Amino acid sequence: MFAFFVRRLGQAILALFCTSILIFLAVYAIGDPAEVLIDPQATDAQVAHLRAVLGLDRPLWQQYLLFLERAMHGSLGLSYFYKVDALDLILQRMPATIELALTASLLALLIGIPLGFIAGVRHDTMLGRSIMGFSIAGFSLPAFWVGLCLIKFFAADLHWLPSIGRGETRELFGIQWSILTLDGWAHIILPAITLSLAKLALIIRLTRAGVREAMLMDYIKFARAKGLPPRRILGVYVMKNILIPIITVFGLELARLLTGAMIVESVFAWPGMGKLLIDSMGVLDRPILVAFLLITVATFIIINFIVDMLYSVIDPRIRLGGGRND
Amino acid sequence: MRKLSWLLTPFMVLALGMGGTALARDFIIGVESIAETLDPHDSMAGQGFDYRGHVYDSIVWLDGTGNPQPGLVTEWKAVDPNTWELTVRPDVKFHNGSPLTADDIAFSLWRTCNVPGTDNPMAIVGNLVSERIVVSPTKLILKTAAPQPILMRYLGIVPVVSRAVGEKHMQVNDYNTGVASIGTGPYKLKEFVTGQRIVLERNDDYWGKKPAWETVTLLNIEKPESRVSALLAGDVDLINNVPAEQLASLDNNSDVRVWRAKSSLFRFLIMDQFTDSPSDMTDNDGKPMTRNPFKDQRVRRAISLAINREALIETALEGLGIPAGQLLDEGFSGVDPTLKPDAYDPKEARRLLAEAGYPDGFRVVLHGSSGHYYNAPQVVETIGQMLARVGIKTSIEIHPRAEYSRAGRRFEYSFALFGWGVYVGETSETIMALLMTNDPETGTGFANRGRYSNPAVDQAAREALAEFDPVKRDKLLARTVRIAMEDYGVMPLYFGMGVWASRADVNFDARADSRTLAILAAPADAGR
Repeated sequence: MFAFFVRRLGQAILALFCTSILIFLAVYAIGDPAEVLIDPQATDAQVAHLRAVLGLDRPLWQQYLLFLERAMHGSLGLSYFYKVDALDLILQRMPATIELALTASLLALLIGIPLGFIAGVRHDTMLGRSIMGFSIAGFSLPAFWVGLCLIKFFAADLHWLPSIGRGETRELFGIQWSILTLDGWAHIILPAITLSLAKLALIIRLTRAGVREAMLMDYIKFARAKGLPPRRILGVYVMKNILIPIITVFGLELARLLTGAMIVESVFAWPGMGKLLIDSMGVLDRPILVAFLLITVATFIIINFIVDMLYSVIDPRIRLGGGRND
Repeated sequence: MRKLSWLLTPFMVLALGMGGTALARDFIIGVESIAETLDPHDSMAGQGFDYRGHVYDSIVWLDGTGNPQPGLVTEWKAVDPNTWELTVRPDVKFHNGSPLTADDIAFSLWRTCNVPGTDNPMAIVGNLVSERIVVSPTKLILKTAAPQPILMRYLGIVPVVSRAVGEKHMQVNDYNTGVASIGTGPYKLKEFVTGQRIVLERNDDYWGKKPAWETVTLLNIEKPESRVSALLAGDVDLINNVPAEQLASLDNNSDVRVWRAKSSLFRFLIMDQFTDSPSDMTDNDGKPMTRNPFKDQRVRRAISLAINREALIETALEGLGIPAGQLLDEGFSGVDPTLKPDAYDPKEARRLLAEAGYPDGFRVVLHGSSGHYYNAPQVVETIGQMLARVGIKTSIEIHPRAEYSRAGRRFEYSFALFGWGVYVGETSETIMALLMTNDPETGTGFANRGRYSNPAVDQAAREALAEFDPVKRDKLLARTVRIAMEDYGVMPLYFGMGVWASRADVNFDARADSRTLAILAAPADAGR
């Protein structure tokens, strides 16, 4: 267990290091941030001045070393664009994204697994086929379009829900959360549905495939023969066996939601990290881009770690630590 | 709290009712982008200019076409060509209660060139002034190194901050956090969330016209469709930059009103008139050119005649533009009213090309940028097709904004779409930046990307720029514009348009400077 942890930590540090080099090179290859940041009507002298102020006039390796030195002191630099600390800005946006991603993921899980079970057990009925039809739609409809339709219907036409933004927030553990207020829920429900749709479809399909496969297994037949009630067969015997792939995918998808909800955030003007990333890419705001990608990599690493831990909880046969105990 | 799901309604009737009355004077503006920082000296135009119009007063007030009106400074005169005497309004107080003096204005002017960690976007204004002499709390003398008749117009975009506060809190971030954001304007800063929203509350001690709204929120809603939905849903009261494709449906919707204004955003083509063998031009066989066709006025005129400006605006801009024949539209200063956009005449264009020695045209690359000017890729595509019809085989290259600005500055494009916005309502600055000979020493022609150089334009411009008398100045500028336009120093295409939409019960003053300010909006019943 301990060896597993140390190895994971080493991998994480290496990944973070490589990411920072890559993003430095990438921004350098795309163009000069000073040219984007500055008013197109500025004089050449102003451009030169800005480049010097931001340190962009130095060779790239010097800029990178300076970045590393500052990073050691806990600062990823000031945003070129907003002129505030890049890490602070991202962390300030993070709760909004976390609550949106979690709400969407839970929606997908809580609706997806039961629907998947129905579609798996009753796969040849009308209901089972409709659920599968719905999941195809969930896959194929682009999120921004679904989002705009929901806004048009529930906000612009029916006036039931607000169209954009995040609702009132309340503080918990020193962080502002909007899911603690009614107004917050009114705001989060449409973006969360939009965001959950594709994940929901995925969970339905995974569950259905798992259920259909498990139902044919010998142990299910034995359980039936033993006369166990169907609820217990499905809820315990089938469920436990199909949970591993679902958790794997759920973990990956959650990490993707946390770092890739940008389109939905943009449509609903949801003040999360994704929107910040889009804005920052447009203006080549390197400190933000670096900080964002480092956080992304860290998120994936942490969630994967948690998923690995869950494996061993669900299936005691799986041991962490590289199989030496097997 | 404005709207809740019907499920929650029974619990919330009371709260909603109370909220309703309190919200009556709240005004929420959905804007495409809000100021990146709240440092009032950290931007020249755009969203920064919009923000500071609420919290700060400029030294003088500019009307929609850039004419200076009394503001914090009530009177001004040039006692000699290099000396201005300004009288400061005596009864103005900052939001923290301290009185405004001439010294605060002097400090604000100094700070335009001294914003830490930035390119000093407003330095162009601060650099005009060489010396600031505070004679008394209400008297300020400004000295300029050279005669600057345009000074007062420029002072109209300089926001006034308090010296006592500003010297203690110099950093940009001090304005973001609010400690330094003390102005004299109609609204006070209440809350700022970077990239998301700016919340303002009414300054009840405002010296000028009492603002109509108790609180104002500038809300960043970047996606055009989302801005429109938010307006239709009643979540915002006013939006800017309405997407062209939704204009028709909004025009027919009685719940909203659409406000349009022509703008001072000038869009034009630059043509390399400097090098002898332009890099991205060839003859029809792909061989490099032996001479530069753009150096021939007939070729430039032929290009102008080959462009159908009305059709261009219809197809590429969905009608959101006005054909341009000069640097600014009528209504601004330094405009020649007899100068009309060239009428579409492909036949004459072909004749001129033949006369210039290019009966079969030539090949050229037309450059444009993405994410910069409204629909720029479509505009250059359309122009390329139009030019092909008269024999100029035009290929299109679209570049990202960063690359585009850089290459433009280095004169790497022979043929490209550029834009110029005017802050001060007259053509002087445009002439100086775009049409005078590029000279890094004096700073003239600093945005002259085609390196156009015409001694007659330079001469006429110098005369006009030094003229103090407004009537004579207007005439001299107009004369300069005419010389440069007949010579096609740049190729005028169109002026952009500003489009806003509001709830039906809001009146909005849509101005040519495209500003989105709460003080330009009022409840529709207020005027009756």
